[in-house]
Amino acid sequence: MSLLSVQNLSVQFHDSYAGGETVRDISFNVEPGEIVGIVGESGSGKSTAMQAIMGLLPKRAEVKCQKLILSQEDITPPFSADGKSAVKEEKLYEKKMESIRGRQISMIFQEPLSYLNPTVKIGRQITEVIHAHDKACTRGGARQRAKELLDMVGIRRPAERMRQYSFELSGGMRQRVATAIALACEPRLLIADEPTTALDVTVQGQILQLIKRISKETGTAVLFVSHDLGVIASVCSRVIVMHNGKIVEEGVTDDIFREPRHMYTKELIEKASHLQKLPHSMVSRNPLFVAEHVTKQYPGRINREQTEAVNNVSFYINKGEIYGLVGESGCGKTTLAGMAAGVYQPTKGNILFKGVPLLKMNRQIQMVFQDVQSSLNPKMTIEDILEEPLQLNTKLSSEGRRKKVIETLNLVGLSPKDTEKYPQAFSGGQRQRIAIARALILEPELMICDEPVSSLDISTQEQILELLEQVQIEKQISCLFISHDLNVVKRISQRLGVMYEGVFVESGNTRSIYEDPWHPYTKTLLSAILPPNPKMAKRKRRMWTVKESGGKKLLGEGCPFAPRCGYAMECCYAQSPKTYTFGEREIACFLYSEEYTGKRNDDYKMTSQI
Amino acid sequence: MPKYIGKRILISVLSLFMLVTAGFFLTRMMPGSPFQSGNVSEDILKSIEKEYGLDRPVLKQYQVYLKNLLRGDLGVSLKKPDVTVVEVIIRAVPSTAILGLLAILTASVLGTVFGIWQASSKNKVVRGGIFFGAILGTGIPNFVIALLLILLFGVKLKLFPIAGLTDSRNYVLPVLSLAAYPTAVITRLVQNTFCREMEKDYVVMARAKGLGYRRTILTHVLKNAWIPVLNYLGPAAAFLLTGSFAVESIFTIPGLGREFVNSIGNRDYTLILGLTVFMGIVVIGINLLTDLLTAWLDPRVRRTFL
Amino acid sequence: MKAMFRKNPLLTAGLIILILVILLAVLVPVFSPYSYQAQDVDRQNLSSSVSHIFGTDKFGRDIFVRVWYGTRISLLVGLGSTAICGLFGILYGSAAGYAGGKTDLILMRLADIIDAIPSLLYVILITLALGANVGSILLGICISGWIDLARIVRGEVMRLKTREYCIAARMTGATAGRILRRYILPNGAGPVIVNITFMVPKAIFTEAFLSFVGAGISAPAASLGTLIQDARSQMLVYPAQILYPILILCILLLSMNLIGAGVEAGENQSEARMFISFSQGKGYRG
Repeated sequence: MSLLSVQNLSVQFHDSYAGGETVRDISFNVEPGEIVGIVGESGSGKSTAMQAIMGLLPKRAEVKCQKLILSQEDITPPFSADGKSAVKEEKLYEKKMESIRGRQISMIFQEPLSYLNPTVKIGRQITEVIHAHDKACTRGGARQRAKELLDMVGIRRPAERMRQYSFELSGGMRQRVATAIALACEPRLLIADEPTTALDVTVQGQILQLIKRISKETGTAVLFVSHDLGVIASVCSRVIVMHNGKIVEEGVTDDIFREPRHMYTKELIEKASHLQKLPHSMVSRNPLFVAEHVTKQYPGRINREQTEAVNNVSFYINKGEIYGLVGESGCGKTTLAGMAAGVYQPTKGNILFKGVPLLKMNRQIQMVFQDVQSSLNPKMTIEDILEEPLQLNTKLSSEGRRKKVIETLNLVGLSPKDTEKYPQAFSGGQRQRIAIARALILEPELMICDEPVSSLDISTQEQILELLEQVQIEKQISCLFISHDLNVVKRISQRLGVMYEGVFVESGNTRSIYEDPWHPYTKTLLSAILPPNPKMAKRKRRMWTVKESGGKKLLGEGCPFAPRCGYAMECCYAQSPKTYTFGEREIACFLYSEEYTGKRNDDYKMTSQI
Repeated sequence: MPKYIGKRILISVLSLFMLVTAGFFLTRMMPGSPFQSGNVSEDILKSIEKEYGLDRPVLKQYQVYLKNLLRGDLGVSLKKPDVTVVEVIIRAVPSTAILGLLAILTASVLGTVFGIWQASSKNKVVRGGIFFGAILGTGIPNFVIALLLILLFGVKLKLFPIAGLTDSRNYVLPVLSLAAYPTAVITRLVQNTFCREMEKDYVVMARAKGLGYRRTILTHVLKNAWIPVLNYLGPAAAFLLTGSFAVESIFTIPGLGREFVNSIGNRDYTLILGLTVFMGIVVIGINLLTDLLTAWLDPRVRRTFL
Repeated sequence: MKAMFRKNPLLTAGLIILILVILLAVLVPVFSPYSYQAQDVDRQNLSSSVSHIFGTDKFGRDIFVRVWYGTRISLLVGLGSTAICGLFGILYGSAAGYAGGKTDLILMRLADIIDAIPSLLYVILITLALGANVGSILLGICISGWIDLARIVRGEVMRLKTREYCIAARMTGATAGRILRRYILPNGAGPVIVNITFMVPKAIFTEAFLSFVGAGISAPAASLGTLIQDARSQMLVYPAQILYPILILCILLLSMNLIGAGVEAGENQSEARMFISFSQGKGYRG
């Protein structure tokens, strides 16, 4: 007997307000204890379908379902053509669902920060679920259970954590708390809506492990929604593929990935594998941009976790090459990008551009941003946006400017017809093209791309990356490409640097780093990448477990990765490792210093020590 | 937290200082003198002025005033020289204070109730009605409301007394007049914030946990929704204080407001200045308190500062 | 016109009423046969008639023309002070918000110091010192009337100056002035416009209040506040004399509040959801 049986579910939104994905007549089952993945791009309707099952959609969503059964209980949402006569039925439905939500079905969401009430203590947010469904439970009993739950999801010192507020915890911890809340009443089914999308890649691995473990231990079935094929491949036993509100394919994970039948599934898998491609040829040494011992500190803010600092970073970018900068949130890459762009000045060290110190913004350095929504002024037409840099910097006539604008638009694949429109009229991918056009119109020598594809769909990502590559080759522009996604960086950059908490831990040739990572952190990052291939995903049983970040370390005293490193030695806590150079590879780790690992032969070719 | 308090206090002191200075020099600039009522000869005028030190240079007078101010001495009423300004204040404060407190309480309670009612009602008439009520409350000045209430209830319907503060029923009309505007503001504030908070993700989460609508969601949301209202209490107090000028005069209530209005009519410098300074202190004090209260209640602010 | 009404009924209604009021205020004193201060002992305390639409007061003055004359004063004070405070507030707030750091600190502390005292106290002191005329009332209102607006402008500027499109503009060489003008203020206009719209009725209220308590325009000049005060002594005997100025004052203020509410509803999408009860609230995320 299936745990959940969905038959002919459709959702339609009547007003255009706040958008809404349609769901078209989907049907599927979930068996007890299994982990089923629902994969699809944004707009495919997967989240809407989940919320419809839970009955969480607002009135303006028209939900039509033939039958919805949860362990033999009928929870079909009521539907009436005129909307008025159903008031009584809706009240009954709502009452029924109230007792089911949280008890038989639970949900975890994508962004735990906004889904947890910031002014209520964590402990209370857990105990209230318990109290809501078990009226007889005592205050003490509920607290005890909450502590057990926190322990089960891997949070140390639960008693202390219970008295804290959501903003005092890290992203990973918040998601664990959300999981604890969801599991409080031992539900049969857990719906996880993109639970790891907002988390760092290393934390993502931990949360996925957690979900797998919980499912096995408690026998809870999981409906795992994600756009990331790698994640789905590593966690789910069965997969449902959604596109445009419909289910296009469904089956056992191995089968789907090995032999996808539907066109769309094939496309999806192919695009995901695309990102596995390795970068093209290297460039000779000819530094255009040099950072020497660059440090940025915010005085008096050592206790504040929000501002990233950069600590003694040195690297260089050659003319005509793409340099990748990889790191997770808070590592300092955005701050570094800001300094490279001239937005702020380093507190120590120098930034040299074409041999001259960069003291303010330089027209030869332009930037493409991550947030597609706010990188173009919504009150200016495309023509205005692209023309302004020319107006301010060149002596071209109005004719000349218009020509240049059209030329640049063509370069990025947009038509001159689009100049009259406003940014809102374009899709995410198109807006990014416009942003690239704006960056290119002054013909800069260095382009800084700060997470340019992170907010785009996977198919659009591929298009933009191809465009960037093409433009770069054609115009021989150097590029500083920043991303948290190692897949993307390794696909497009010739050389790269890995950052962790303000420090460069490893840098060098992209291909060689990818094939032979030296630094423990780089290795962790690489191992956390989940390939869209179930066999490979399962083979990664030996995931480099990394401890959750403990207390903050003061800058300058020891390697920042030491608290989480499985290979940390005494010296790692006491001093900062220097940067050791081996050919074109640089690494900041004591494992590679002669002092601590013994003298080596002169012609010993250095390779990974772990 | 201590740094925050320190900064606020510094600003408050500077504001008061500015008020005292501006007030002092402006009152000196006023045409007319309190002694010109009635037939007083030049010589007697001169001797009175000498007695009060009004013949000395202005800057000297200013210094003397400041010194006295720090000692708590606000001078004597020029109109009734046997009464000190401080005495006038002490006599007048209770009435104003009671009125003000009642008005704030009424406004807070009614405002919150109406705000939530408007936000949650499915009835278009109710929502529209409360909305227009709020528009009226913000649009019609308090002295107009007072006069209209007098005409309606006091005279035509003869339900409530319209003068003095002898009986508890006397409070009804003045409090209503004073409370109208803040009630309207709080209603719109609560309704607005309520709607905004209900859109937030943590409400979705609460629903997904199976928490009942009314009780539990109200607890979650109300807490966050009331913070802007608390912020408003400071400016509300200022408004009530200045509102009391008109309302007390209309209902002949012996409070600070009426004393102030009378002192203006009498050109009684010291009283005008003294009352102004006192009111300034009250307003600043209340604002300081509400600021600290909000900062303390919001755990985000509390935890970052401690 | 009908389309505008449907889209924003509050705003349209308010505008229509306001325009009517302004027309009457401008035209009535011009075309009326009576002057606002002409006294006529034979015609005291008359009730409404064709020749005296609002009747006469205890000095035989025509109330109709006095009421509209008073409305002129209110409009002058309201619109005038808003224009001055609006301009100054935007400049001040933009400067503080954009410059940031020490400049912002000093500018805003200065504003805090002035703002801590209720403006009414300053207005009263100034009108007492400089005489009770429109000029001193304007001065008094403008002393602290810009502060609230400056804060809002500063807030918007600070919120938007770190937006990527502003950084991009800086990187292509746009000056601060250009960025404020083309990038920041157009995008932050919403709350600013709402605030400015409400400044007008606030100023009118202040003037009426002042005149009522005797610290503003005084007799024989006819501000709406003074008219109300004048009629108070005979309020119980001749209620009409106090009701007419009250009526016009309320209509004026209400029309402006309607406009303000309409602008607010237009700017603020969530306000439009005012008419959607919360049980229909979110619970959905695409």
